[in-house]
Amino acid sequence: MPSTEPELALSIAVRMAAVAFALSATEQLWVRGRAFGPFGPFSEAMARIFGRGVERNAITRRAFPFALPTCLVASLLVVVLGPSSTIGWAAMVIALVANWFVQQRRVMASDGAEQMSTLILVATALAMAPVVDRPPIMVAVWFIGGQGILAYTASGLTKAFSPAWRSGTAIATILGSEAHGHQYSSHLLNTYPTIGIATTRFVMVFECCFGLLLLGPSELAAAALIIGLLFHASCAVLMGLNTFIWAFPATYACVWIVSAYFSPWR
Amino acid sequence: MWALVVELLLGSLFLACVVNQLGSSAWERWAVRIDCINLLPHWGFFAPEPGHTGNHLVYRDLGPQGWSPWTEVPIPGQPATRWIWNPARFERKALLDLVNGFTKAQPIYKEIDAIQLSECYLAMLTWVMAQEMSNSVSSARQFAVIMSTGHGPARTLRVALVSNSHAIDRA
Repeated sequence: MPSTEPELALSIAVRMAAVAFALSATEQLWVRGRAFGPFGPFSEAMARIFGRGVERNAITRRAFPFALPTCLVASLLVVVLGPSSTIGWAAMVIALVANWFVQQRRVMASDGAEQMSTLILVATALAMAPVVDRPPIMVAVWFIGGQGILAYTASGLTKAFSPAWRSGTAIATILGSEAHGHQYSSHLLNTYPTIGIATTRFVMVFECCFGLLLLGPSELAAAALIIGLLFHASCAVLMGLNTFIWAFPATYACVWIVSAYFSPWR
Repeated sequence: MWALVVELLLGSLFLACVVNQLGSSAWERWAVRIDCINLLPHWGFFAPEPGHTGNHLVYRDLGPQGWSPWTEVPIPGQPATRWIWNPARFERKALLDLVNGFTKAQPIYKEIDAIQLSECYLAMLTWVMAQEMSNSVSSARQFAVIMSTGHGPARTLRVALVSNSHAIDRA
């Protein structure tokens, strides 16, 4: 199996993270009038309670109305141009700054996908800053790959210490919820509890062993990443987590490179 | 030189991300003060407690004829296309974060008998107070959080929180 070049891995990571950013910005623009308006959860009054808000100084007040469209356009530029061009790099920085302005009003409702996308863009923006002829690409690749492995491992270990996850009832519980649930799947798991128990324990064990699997031969490592991709696709379809499938698999090319350094088989 | 700077910055950030997973309250109190750009993640992903409820924020007004019926703060439902397009997730997540934050802060604020001063309570109050009045002479508003579990005929509801009544400021 051919090795992935660091620059290609970083380009894939950044473009996929930018897709997550662009999708998120578009969704927020769709609900802007309601959610960011005076009756919504991201009103100025709501933000003020948490010590934020955009009316507190002239810069945030003037920048905020343009923040979401700017984040969207900048993210799309990153998707098209990638991190290696100067314009692509500038677009990354602009997308990050624009998202920060949005978060001065949207104090709540962040999620793991937004956090991972932000970390990918921050790491790449730092590494690819046009201040040197040979940017330290590998540093960003290591960071992003390490972050991907950390995310699954930390999540898996947290599940391993959770009674709900160890008992095997967690996925049936989640799919039975209104917030992230799925009526048909919930009915299926209630009818055949063994499926839910097996799936719950599989997810827990997979996440815990994610890092270990990557140390194996190429085939095993590739299988781990494919399972991860399928996991996130399932989460998108069953739970509506539509940005996670972009943000977390974005790390996989970097994860592949990082794990190859430690694997005795690769 | 720049490579060294990047290594130090990203190395420190990665270390901070690792420590952030350990769940130390002393670290979290310190981190919240310096992490002004919300970089430090907590990779829980429905752990340790898997989310099992849907939340509904409802309110009612006190008028001359007594309390009005409960009205729900509108949050759109989940579209069939939510696997690719899910804009209402932000409002739903906002309410979830407020309810979770309130639950987490409750023991601390209850000790000093000041639960109504917690940020999440005040945020929910602000949200419902911003909704339109059921009539122009309402004098107070009260809100509640209803948690739902399950789907279709198996759906159950329970009241998670009922606020005090709060005077409506017509200034």
